[in-house]
Amino acid sequence: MQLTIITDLNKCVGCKSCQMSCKEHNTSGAFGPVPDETPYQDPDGMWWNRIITMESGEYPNTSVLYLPKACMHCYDAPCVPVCPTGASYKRADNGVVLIDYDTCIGCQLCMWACPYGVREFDEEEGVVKKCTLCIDRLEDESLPPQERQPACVQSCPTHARTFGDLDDPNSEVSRLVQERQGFGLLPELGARPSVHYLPRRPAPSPVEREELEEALKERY
Amino acid sequence: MATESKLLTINEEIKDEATNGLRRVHTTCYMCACRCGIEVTLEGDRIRFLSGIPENPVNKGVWCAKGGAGIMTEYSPARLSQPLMREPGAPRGEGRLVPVDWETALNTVTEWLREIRKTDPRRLAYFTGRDQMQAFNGYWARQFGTPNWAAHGGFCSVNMAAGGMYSIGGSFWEFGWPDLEHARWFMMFGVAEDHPSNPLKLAISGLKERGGRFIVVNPVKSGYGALADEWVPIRPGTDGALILAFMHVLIREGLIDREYLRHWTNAPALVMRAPGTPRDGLFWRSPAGDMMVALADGRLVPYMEARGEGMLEGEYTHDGIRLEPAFQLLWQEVQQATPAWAQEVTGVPKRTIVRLAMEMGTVAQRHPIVLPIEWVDAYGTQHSVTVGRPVAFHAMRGLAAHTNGFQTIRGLFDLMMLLGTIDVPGGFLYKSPYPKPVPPPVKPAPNPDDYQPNQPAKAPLLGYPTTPDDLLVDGDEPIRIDESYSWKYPLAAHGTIQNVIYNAASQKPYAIDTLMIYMANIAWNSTWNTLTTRDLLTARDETTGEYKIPHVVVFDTFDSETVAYADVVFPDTTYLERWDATSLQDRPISEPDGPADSIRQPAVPRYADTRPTADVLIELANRLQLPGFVEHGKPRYRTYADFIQLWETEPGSGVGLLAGFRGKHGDQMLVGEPNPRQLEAYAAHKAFWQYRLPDNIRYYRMANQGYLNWAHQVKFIGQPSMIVLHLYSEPLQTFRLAGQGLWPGKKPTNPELKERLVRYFSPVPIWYAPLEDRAEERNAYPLRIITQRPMTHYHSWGSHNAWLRQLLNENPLFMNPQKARELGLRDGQWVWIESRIGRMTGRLRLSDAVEPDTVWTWNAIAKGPGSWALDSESPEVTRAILINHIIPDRMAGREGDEFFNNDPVTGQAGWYDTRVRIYPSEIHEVWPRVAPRQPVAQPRAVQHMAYRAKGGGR
Amino acid sequence: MRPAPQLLVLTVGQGIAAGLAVALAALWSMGVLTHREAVWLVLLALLTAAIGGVASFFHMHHMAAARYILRRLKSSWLSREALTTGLFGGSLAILAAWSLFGSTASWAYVWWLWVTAAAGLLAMWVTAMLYATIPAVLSWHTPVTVISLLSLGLLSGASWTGLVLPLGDHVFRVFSVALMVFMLFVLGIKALHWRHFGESHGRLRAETGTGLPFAPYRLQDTGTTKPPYRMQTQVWPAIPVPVRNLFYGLIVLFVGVGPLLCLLLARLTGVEVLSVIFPGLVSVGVVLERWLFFADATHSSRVFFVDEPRHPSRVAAAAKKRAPVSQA
Ligand SMILES: Nc1nc2c(c(=O)[nH]1)N[C@H]1C(S)=C(S)[C@@H](COP(=O)(O)OP(=O)(O)OC[C@H]3O[C@@H](n4cnc5c(=O)[nH]c(N)nc54)[C@H](O)[C@@H]3O)O[C@H]1N2
Ligand SMILES: Nc1nc2c(c(=O)[nH]1)N[C@H]1C(S)=C(S)[C@@H](COP(=O)(O)OP(=O)(O)OC[C@H]3O[C@@H](n4cnc5c(=O)[nH]c(N)nc54)[C@H](O)[C@@H]3O)O[C@H]1N2
Ligand code: SF4
Ligand code: SF4
Ligand code: SF4
Ligand code: SF4
Ligand code: SF4
Ligand SMILES: [Mo]
Repeated sequence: MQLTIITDLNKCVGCKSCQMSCKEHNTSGAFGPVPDETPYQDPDGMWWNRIITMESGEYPNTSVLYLPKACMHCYDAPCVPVCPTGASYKRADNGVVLIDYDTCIGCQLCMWACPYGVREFDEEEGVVKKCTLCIDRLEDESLPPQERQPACVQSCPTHARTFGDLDDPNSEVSRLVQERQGFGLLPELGARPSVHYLPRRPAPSPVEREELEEALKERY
Repeated sequence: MATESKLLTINEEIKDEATNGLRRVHTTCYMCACRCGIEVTLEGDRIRFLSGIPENPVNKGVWCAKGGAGIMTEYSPARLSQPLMREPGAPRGEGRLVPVDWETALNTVTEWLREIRKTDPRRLAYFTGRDQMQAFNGYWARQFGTPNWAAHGGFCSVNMAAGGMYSIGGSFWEFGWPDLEHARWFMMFGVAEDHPSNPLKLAISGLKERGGRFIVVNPVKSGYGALADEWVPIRPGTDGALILAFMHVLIREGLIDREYLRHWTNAPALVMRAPGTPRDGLFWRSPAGDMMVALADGRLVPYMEARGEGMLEGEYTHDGIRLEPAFQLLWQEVQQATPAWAQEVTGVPKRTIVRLAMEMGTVAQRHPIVLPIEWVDAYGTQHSVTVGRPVAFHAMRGLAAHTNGFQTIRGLFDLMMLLGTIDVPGGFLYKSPYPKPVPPPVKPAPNPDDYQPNQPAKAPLLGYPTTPDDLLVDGDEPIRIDESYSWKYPLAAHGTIQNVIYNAASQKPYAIDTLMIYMANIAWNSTWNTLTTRDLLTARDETTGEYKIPHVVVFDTFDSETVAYADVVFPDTTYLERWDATSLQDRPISEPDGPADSIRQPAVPRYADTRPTADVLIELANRLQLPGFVEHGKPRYRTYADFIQLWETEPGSGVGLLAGFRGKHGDQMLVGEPNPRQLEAYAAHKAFWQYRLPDNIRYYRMANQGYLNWAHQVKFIGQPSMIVLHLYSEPLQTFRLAGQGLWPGKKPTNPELKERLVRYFSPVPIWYAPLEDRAEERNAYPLRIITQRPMTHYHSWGSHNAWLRQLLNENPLFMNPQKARELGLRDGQWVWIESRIGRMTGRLRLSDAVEPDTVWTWNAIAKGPGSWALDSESPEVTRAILINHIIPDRMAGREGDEFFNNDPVTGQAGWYDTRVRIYPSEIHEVWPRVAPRQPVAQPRAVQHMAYRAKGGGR
Repeated sequence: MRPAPQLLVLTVGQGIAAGLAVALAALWSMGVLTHREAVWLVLLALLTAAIGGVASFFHMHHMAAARYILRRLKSSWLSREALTTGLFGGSLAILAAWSLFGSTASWAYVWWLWVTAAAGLLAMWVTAMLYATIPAVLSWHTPVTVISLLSLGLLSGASWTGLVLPLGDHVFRVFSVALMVFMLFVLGIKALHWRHFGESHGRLRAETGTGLPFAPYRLQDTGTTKPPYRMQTQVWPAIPVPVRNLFYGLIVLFVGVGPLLCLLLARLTGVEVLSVIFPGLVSVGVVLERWLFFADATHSSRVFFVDEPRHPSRVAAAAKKRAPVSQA
């Protein structure tokens, strides 16, 4: 089993709801807090999910793109073998990559090893933190069933994010990845991310070219 | 209140649905005006997390970044904790405020107000910003007796509201909505990224899921625009031309819905063509007042009698009067609007214009949606199915915030009528309680003596004039301090808050005594020509040395820039600490499938010595013995919670603020006796109420007899008769007649006022260049500057939020690289941004996602030093820019200063008309920077913050 | 990459110690050292190793968890580093005790000298492998990293013998020729390494390698809302080209040209102080080299802020104002 999140870039508006819901739900959660530095001065803080805004193409054929970036819960997670204490580990039962704060020495080697830059360092506690795929929510029986999913998936106002088991060929996430040419980031670094993105899929104009040419020629 | 006793007992105890030591309270979010249902999960008294309520009709379980960050708003260091008064002798504006007790603050303001009310109630000006209790505030002001109340619509989007109300008796946003569940083709004009936030995101997502086509017309591509299948970059202020050209092509290509026009709009109604007479341009009416139409056989009959058979073309005469169908007049206007002309104006290629028109026309006319829903129309005709046109539109301030916005929006609604997409599946759908008659039959009392000392005003303070006689003028002179409903801004349906400070300080048309401001940051981001406006707030009479605005009272929750300008500050609670209602009397949360409303309830204990503003206003009303609030000397309401449950629009009307759970036993809806346990009932139903209209009264509601009967029954409308859509606006023509001196009633004498009426009050949509576009400005200031809202911030109230401010805290000026090359400017360079009223610096960021003649930035990110409990070296202070500094408040080329930079029809502030030129700056930092003020809420030098619900203190 | 001072001290100290150990073993085996000189060299090695070790200790933020550090010897080079650095330190300590209090005349002492030298080399090699085996740090992911760290360690350690052996000394004269040759080798290696750094930097352009189908793209996040952030130590604003070139120059000067001149001058003049200046120059050069090694390394996640040299993120640097209060 490999639990993961698929983000449909055809729907993501870059609202950062997933970024905020992550922080807000996790800060008091099992793997929190998710701290901030000088929050009322020159602010900075830890986020396990960050949205990147990008542009490509030249005006007027510009494309604007938002890329939510959290832990990719890699199949061959490079952050795991480098960890000297075994604090970073990948769960055998569901593929979620986690950090055990009690054994983490804060050496930050895993931060170097992660190709995606999604691990962040909590100076105060001396441990590295990152997206847990909301494992504490997934496994909390006291939560109502609809909340036993990642906060960022639950909050996303465009339902751009889908959560599920990528190893199950019948799951929604597998279907999406297959049917919509889902791709992972930085494939050449060999981490085999389980998190996938779905590309844009533009809807074409319903007006035939000839029909338009004719109208233009004859009337306008 | 002073005495905490309540007339009614409301169970203020929070429901304990204990799971894992967590409690959950349902309420309505107010991190923005979207009003999503949220669940607040608490651990003890502290917020564990916030999330969306899945059943809520607005957000259906999702929540946005702002909503989630509510935790940091609740625990913000910028919160006001107690009433404040200006330090004796200290000048206004420096923030030198001292804490006082509630009794002192209340007494002081009561005395001011009592005096005003006794002498001249007009001398109270009460203006509210992002206010969600306008029904209450409007009622309060009316009972006080002043005409000078309004909410924020004037600087916001009154063009959108009025444009819709004068066309279809509804509009976009809280009044109506694109049906993206059925639409296959969706065009969005001038909507940034977040309006309305979650509902539109959900809807667009659904459209994309179904493979619908999404077109965005906007000078900027971002947010929603990023998802567009086609981006149509347009020069700001020119959409009217584009829309006229669309209509031109549609009509010529025969892609319009003629049946729709003939049945449901006034397109076939006969207009009298009698230039120079008082009848010119008005409908020819039967003695009973019915519009007349021509039938194919040449007979002229009343509209309803024609049963949709009225002719759209032709010339007719009756009694020597030339008559033409309204549609033909529209065509005459639109005929000139060729795609080639529109290309010149808008910058959108002709071929794109023609193609898009053909796209919308083809999808609408050739691929209708047919739903198996039977319905009966107002003519008595039974329809076996419901036919819809799957072409939908949405628009907001990109159209509204221009001085030609009203006519542009009228154009958009006419376009939708031509396509037959009003209240049909796949098109535009009304939200309850709309549709209302066009325009809605509410009018303010128009005469000076309707506002008498110690009397309530004779009518609601805002409404929709239908003829010049409804204007609030005394000759040429305005009655209202903001000049709403004057000859300058006749259809100012939401008031014109942006005019208030200027007029009050220049004591024109008269001096006021007290300015009360609730939830508006008018000394900073909702003002224009900001530095001057700030000076006006502190302007003094040269002879007496007294302030020209003697008293300023501010209701705010946070230490905003405006707080510094207050003489008395009433500290409000946050939205998580009070009772509140989103009401059908105001701007409800209704969805197209039926009415809905919701409440807020206290989820966390009130902070320090704060009180909900509504409670304070009720206390003031009680002390002032305002009628309606006090009966036989006894207060009817102690708190807003009482008011929400007990108040009725008229005594015994059965209609109050909340529509659900009415009646003694809470088993009635919409109309019913007040229910003293109504709030409890809402609380138990996840804080909202919703009624789903049966399918057969869900569409064509302006003409769906079943619906009209029901709407009449529940008092949404006065008569169960058909609401004819206004393709042609007769009310506008009456103003034009007044301008021509032909109107028999009120008319202006000043030639300039007359000319404006003639020029801008066209009964069919027109396009004219924004008023900033005289040749002088066009040449000197070749670029247009506009702002967008960021998805993560709600105006000025996000920057003190520790989490939100990390998402955005500085705003570059975005410019197209082609333009930058042309001007020799580089990415990252500091530049001067100069408008005709002044200049400021900004930092350039090149972006291919903006049209070359436009530059843009986010609004309301910049903060004044000393406010919001932020360090004065914060990026918001040192690196963010506020373009309001250079947005002109007065109209261009007006030496005499007679007019504001407003739409001449509605008084909508023309934010996005500002023209600038841009050149390298020798100053490499933000300029101008205002002097630091003394903070009330002290900046907290927090080094490391690790929020945990458990065990933390405040 | 944000350079951590502890790692800088650790790698430099470890390199000197290991280099000293190797030089010591070689010179002692050649029989050209006095006992007194050997003791000094051992103590110097122990000192530098200790400084490095202590620094590495402070690089750990969660001391209590240090006891788990050997858990992942099978996969983690850091685990192995802890082990081999420990072994090296241990053997050095024994060597020191032996040199001070034991009999140094036995073959066993020579044998232990070489064991210690081997432990030093092993420790250096493991440390170097730790850096070289991280694919995400493109600049380090090359065998040249291993050679570079090893050779610089040896060079710096060997140069430190100058503190004990006067440059004018006959022994040292012979040794110095070998050093000069090695120095040129080191410069060559560094040139190769820097070329790889440059390539890594260039490889990370938006056009390539993100896996996104929309490239080339440009990032549009603004100033403080764009990476890198303070909490992401794996990334750091790119070093401006002039600064990088300055460092190149300084390193060549300190590790190469300067010491070479020292050695030549020493041969010609026999001035005593040069023997102190010489290791000083090399050490400063190695520190500079190590700083650049960290600071100029390209991490793959930089691809998500490729245009960043134009507008460096401010938040990556420590907050300007350090205020005292902490709030939870
Ligand atoms: N997150 C967030 N949400 C908000 C608010 C907020 O502050 N933050 N504010 C709320 C309020 S008060 C309001 S009024 C609404 C406003 O909601 P919007 O109307 O979406 O808000 P604006 O940011 O004014 O966006 C105007 C858009 O029109 C474009 N535009 C400007 N001029 C033209 C033009 O001439 N033609 C066209 N086609 N486009 C043009 C701009 O590029 C921009 O995209 O948002 C509400 N929602
Ligand atoms: N350049 C530029 N300027 C613009 C616009 C633009 O597009 N461009 N848009 C305009 C538009 S559409 C609008 S609507 C205005 C909005 O402008 P404003 O109405 O001024 O809105 P805010 O800046 O949000 O200020 C609201 C005030 O309410 C306070 N507040 C927040 N919550 C509460 C509460 O619970 N109780 C009380 N009592 N106070 C509270 C905040 O502290 C703040 O001081 O800005 C206008 N200004
Ligand atoms: S919440 Fe959804 S739409 Fe918003 S940024 Fe995240 S993935 Fe994109
Ligand atoms: S920082 Fe913690 S989790 Fe990361 S490698 Fe070091 S010990 Fe492992
Ligand atoms: S994304 Fe980074 S932290 Fe997450 S599993 Fe992959 S390598 Fe590890
Ligand atoms: S899965 Fe949970 S922890 Fe991971 S990004 Fe989403 S909300 Fe954050
Ligand atoms: S859209 Fe507005 S009301 Fe809805 S959750 Fe976000 S901030 Fe709250
Ligand atoms: Mo607004």
